[in-house]
Amino acid sequence: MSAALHDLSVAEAGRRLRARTLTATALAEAALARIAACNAHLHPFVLVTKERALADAARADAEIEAGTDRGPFHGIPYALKDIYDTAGIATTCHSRLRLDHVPVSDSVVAARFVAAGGVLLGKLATHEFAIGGPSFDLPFPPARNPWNPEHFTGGSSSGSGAAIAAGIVRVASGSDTGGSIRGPAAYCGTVGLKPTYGRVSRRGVFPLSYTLDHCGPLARSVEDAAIAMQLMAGHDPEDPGSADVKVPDYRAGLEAGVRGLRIGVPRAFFAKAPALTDEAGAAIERAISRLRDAGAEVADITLPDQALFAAANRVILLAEGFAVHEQDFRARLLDYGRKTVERLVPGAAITAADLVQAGRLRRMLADAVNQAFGSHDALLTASSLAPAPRLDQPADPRAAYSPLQFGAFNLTGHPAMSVPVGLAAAGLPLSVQLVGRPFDEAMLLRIGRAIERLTGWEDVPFPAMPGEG
Amino acid sequence: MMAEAEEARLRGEFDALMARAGLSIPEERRAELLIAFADLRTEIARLHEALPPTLEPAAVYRVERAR
Repeated sequence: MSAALHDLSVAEAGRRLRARTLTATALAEAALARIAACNAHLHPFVLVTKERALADAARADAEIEAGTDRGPFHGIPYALKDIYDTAGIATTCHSRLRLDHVPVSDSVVAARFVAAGGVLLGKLATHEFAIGGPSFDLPFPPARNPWNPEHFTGGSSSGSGAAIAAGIVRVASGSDTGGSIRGPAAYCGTVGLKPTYGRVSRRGVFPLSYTLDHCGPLARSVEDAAIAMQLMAGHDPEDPGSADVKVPDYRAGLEAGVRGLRIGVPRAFFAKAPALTDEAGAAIERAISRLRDAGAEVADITLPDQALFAAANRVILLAEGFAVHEQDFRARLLDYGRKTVERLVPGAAITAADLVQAGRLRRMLADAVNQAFGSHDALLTASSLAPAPRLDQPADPRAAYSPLQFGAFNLTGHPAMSVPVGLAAAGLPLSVQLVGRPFDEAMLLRIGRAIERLTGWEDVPFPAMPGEG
Repeated sequence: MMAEAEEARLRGEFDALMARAGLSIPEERRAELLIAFADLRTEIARLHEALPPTLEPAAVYRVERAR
């Protein structure tokens, strides 16, 4: 694949498609060639839908030729995390338990990508049922980090992060219950946007935790993420958690800058966290400094103890996750991967009193975050506290919960986005997390775009694949 | 001695909860699950300490107007 093609933003590729200087078929063929070049060592895809991709691309080319314009995603390649149902295409949840599962209909998000004229390249690796991992005892290998294949992608949207960092797609779907969009985004150097709870339909996506699950995009750039959000967002009356709130034009304010914006930093969330590395801490401070230089008012704020958010998130996640899997745990425990069992089975030990208490705290903590937005337009905090660890690093059963600071905003439902800010000395990405008012994803995209520009991240070349110099 | 007693209590509690849930945990998986269980218990204790049970309003349920 020519470097020029895989570096084209969604918007730029769309412009060329409309100008007829590029075809969707050429884009799809280039992406398929890139999969062929790197899937054997990076494993982002569990299934490549080559025939479907070429058919989607041919249809897009014919429609564009005939003057039909489905919008900025028309003819653009994408891929879906393998917990999103796809009609007639296996949706395995990366699990032995679902190897033969072929849905009869698309998830709402998959259908929206189809309606937007996207070109489906295939299904992406995940941690089994979107929890646990990285695991080597599942039907498919774990995805590897394109910045260094000996390192972890983060999870659970592991294939999504890897496919974008490898330059195969600019946009992929993810899901986020305790950081599963923002974690892989942070480790793989992509943008990862967990929208407000209820902003994107979850219908047809395998549940991990009914009240904490969020669907959203991972993308190469903030603008790509804005385009993806535009097609993913919207009310779904058949998802009981879905919110009937108007969807704005996410690209309209992207270049508005940060002058005059008030950004709060809940410094106690991360500053004394044992897992925070000097490089990650310095990267956060650099981003804050650049935002100040660009005219934002940045001030420290106090939120309740991060550990409280994490504990309430974990109790609710494990109780609800155990409820999802209870019958299969009884009947087929050994068909699950070891890490999935290790993470979810303790949910059986949560009592009704524990869950009630977590629910009460959830309301209190959400109120505390909402109060902070009385005087701030957004919050900025840590994303990952360190660059991606090695895949062979001994697994700490608590590791999914403590060094990554994401679960707080699954608990409260606020939108949150991981944005890359630079590379550590070892060549692995560093990032920050932005948090917004409910349904104000546009503000996160605006600040994220400024960070992308101010930190120079937009000019950082992505890792080369085999055969590229 | 205390540590042994605590570990035995933890194992007993874990086994009882798994039995209540109808789960049969293979012996070779118990050690890793016990670590995760102990860690979860610490987090649960944090929740109970943070918000006294009699503090009202609990605010976990809200009646909404029918549309």
